[in-house]
Amino acid sequence: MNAFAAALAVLHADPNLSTAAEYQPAAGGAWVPVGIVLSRPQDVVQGFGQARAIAVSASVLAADWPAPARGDKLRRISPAATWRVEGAEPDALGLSWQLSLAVAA
Amino acid sequence: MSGTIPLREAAMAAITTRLAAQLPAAVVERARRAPVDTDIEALPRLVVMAGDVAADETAEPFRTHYTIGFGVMGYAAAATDLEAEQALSLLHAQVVAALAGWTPTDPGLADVRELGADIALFDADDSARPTGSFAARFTILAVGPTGGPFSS
Repeated sequence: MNAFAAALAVLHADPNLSTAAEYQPAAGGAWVPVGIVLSRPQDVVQGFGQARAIAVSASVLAADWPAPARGDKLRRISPAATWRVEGAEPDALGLSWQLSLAVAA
Repeated sequence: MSGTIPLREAAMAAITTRLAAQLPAAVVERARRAPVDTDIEALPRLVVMAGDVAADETAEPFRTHYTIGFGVMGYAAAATDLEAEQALSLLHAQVVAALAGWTPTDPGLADVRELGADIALFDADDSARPTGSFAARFTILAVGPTGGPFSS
C-alpha cells in the first residue's frame, strides 16, 4: 500500500468523515456494504436563468467498490437516503471513485 | 407629455399578471436578481425580466413605437430526468401559449411576439435533483406619443 492509498484508507476509516452505506449494481442483486465520504456542494448552476442547486457526490474506495457505473444505487444507512449513480470518475491513481449522485426516484 | 406609469413598467406588470392567471400552478416573480434555489423554493417557477427597449419614430407620425424585450425564465423539477425534461417542455409551452400573440388591454400596449428559448436540464454534477430551466425571449410592442413613453 503506497502513501496515497494509506492516506485514503485513514480518511475513509474516520467516523467523522465516513458514513456507512451499501451499493447495488444497476442489474440488481445483493446490497454490498461500502464506506462513503459524502459532500453536498451548493453552487450556481450553469443553466438558463440564474439558479442555485445542491449536488450530492460521494467518494468511495476502489477496493470497496471496484466498478461503480451509472444506474447503480447507493443507500446511506443512517439517516436513510438512497441515490442513483449518475457518474463515476476515478482518481488519477485508481484508488478511489468520485460518484455524482442523483436523488433516486 | 408625461404620465405616471411608464410603458415598460405597464408591459411587465401586464405580462406578469397574465402569466400568473394562465399558469396558476407556477410561482411567478418579477425583476429578481438572486439565483433561484431549486432545492428549497417552490417549483415550477417563472421569473419575468424586462430587457432592452428599441424606439422607432418612423412608424407613425408624432408617435413612437417601442419594442420592449423581455425574458421569462422557467424552472421545473421532477422525480426523474425524463419527467423533469417533460415538465420543462410543458412549462415552456404553457408560457408561449399564454404570451405569444397576446395583446394586453392596457393603453399603449400591443402584441407580444415570441423570439425563441434556450432550454436545458441541469448537469448531474450540479444538481442531485432532476431539474432544468429555460430562458424564453419575447418582445412586446408599446406605442406612445413621441417623447411620452407612458401608458397612463
